[in-house]
Amino acid sequence: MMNVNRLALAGSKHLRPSQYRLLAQRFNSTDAQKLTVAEAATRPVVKSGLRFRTKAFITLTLIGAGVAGVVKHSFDDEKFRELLEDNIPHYAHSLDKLEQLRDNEDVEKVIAGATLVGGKIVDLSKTGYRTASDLINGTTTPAPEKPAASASSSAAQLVKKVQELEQPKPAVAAARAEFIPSETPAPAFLPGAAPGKNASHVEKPKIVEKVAKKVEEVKEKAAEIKENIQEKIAEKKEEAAAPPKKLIKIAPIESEEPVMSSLNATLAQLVHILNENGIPEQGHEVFEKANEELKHLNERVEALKVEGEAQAATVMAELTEKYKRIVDEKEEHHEGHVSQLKRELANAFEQEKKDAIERELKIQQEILREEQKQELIKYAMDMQRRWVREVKVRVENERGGRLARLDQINLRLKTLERQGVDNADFLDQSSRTHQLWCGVKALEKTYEAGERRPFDRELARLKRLAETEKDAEVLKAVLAAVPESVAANGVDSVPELMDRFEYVADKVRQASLVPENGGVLAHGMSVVLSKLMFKKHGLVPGNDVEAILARTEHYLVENDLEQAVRELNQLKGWGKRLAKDWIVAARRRVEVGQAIDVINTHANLVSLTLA
Amino acid sequence: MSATNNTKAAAIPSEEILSRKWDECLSNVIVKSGIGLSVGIVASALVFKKRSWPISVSTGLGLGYALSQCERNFNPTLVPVAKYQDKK
Repeated sequence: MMNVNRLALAGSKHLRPSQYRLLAQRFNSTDAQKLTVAEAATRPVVKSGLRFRTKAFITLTLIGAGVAGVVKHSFDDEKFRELLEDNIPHYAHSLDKLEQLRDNEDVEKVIAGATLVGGKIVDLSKTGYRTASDLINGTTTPAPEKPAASASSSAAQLVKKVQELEQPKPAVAAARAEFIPSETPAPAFLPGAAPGKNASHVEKPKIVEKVAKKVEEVKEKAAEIKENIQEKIAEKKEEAAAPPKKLIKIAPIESEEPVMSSLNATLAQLVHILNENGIPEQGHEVFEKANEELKHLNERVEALKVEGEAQAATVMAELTEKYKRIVDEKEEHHEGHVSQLKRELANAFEQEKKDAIERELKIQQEILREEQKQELIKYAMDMQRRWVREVKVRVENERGGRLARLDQINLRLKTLERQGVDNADFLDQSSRTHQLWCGVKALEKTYEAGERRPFDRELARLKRLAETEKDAEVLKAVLAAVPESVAANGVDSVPELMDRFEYVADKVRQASLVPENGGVLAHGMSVVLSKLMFKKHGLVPGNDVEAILARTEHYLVENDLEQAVRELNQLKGWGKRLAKDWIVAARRRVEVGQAIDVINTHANLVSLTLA
Repeated sequence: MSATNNTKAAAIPSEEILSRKWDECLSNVIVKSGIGLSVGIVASALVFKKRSWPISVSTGLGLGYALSQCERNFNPTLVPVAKYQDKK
């Protein structure tokens, strides 16, 4: 069926002649020669595919490449190397040896030599290719690069370059202008470049001769110009060695002013400098003039100084007289003032003394009056007390018998009251204890039921009872510690937990062989391989997953939920994640059980204290 | 989006997270390789002149994509092109 379809498709497919022939051979007997049975028998059977030799070769190459790749990668990646070293015997030893080999210097030299040879081979092949392409593309000369010819041409070019650098520009420009038309472009580049363009090779000997000639001409010209320059330099030196000039002389001016002396110093320096360098005659006159003017300036300054001093003296004398007069007047005025003040102060002092004495007298009088009053009050109170005591004594003597009897009756009444109240209290308390007991029992019943049942109503009832009790702090705390959601949903029963545990244990076993950060393959392997592991039962020691699960199961069967939870909590990694919900549910049950225990104890205590 | 994520997380009991992951993985494989297969068939029929390799290539691509999704699902800490280096 398939074959027919293929041939039908062949019409629409583009087939090479060989392909068509093959197809035709297989399906269409009219288009190709069929082999007779005899011929088919005698023909050697050519097995399809490659020969064994080829296959072996390919396999070995691939294996070798694989091993090389593994070795190379293990040098790069530490973790990979450790993995291989752990699992393949003698791998570490081999790698160490290889490292030694790599770090060995002899080997490095060998490798360097090999790379050099390789480079040379590459160069040779390149030139071979170039010449071959020249040949093919029709350039005239086939010769490969000859080192000797290129060396001579490069030497000539170097000489030329040196000449250019030595000479002044115009001479070389002239020489070059003669060069350029006769040369090909190649020698104008750096020496040694583009040897492949060998079309100019025929002209090279001629050019070398020409270059030599030109070099000689240029050398002669250079010599001439050098002489010229030297002559010019000699002339300049003569000019510079002219007769020395007349020196300028100035007289130094002395003065006290610092300004003047600095001016003088500056002028002297200027003259000194100019004398050294030599200046024409005009400067000489100007400087002498400047010196005279400086002298005049100095004299003027002195005169001004003297005038100023004289003026200052007169002004000072006038001012001192004036001030003396003013000071005398002020002194007289001041003395009269002072005596007046003294008299006034004395009067004020006398007055004050008198006032103080009067005040003291008044205060003393008042104190004495107060003391008198206090004494009178005390005496009055004393009198009153004595009166009250007398009255009491008299009344009691009268009362005698009757009043005492009234007291007794009162006492007994009080006792009766108390007893009545106590009784009522007792009854109240016992009824509350009964209610508490009932509530606890109801809660226990819900807790011990064979399935999960909500117990929020019982819990609310207990809370209400706890409100009315005194000394019920513990009870209230415990009742408050049970969360609302747990009460509303109820807790699992032990059979339910056991069922769930079987399921969870199964899942934990499946996930037990997953390595850290494992992907889908690791998880798959874990699922498959965990089915090959043995299951343990009973109290087995050990920290692996199977032991933990076995111990948890054991505790569950013994109804020791707390221990079971503690055991299962020891799981790590995926196991822990999977078992989390079960642990939470079991814990809730344990906590509610503990709360019920506490409430039970409290109820016991209360009933004991009653009796 | 966060609300639906939270309710989704709350609904699964913890012992079934791996089962859920396997379920997602399986559905991914089926869906993606199926899509790859159909795309391959269409492409082979329309563009590639009814040759057989586009089909297998496309199915393989789909399978590979599903595999990488699975891998990320099981190992969310995986970052592409990250190499695990031992702390030295």
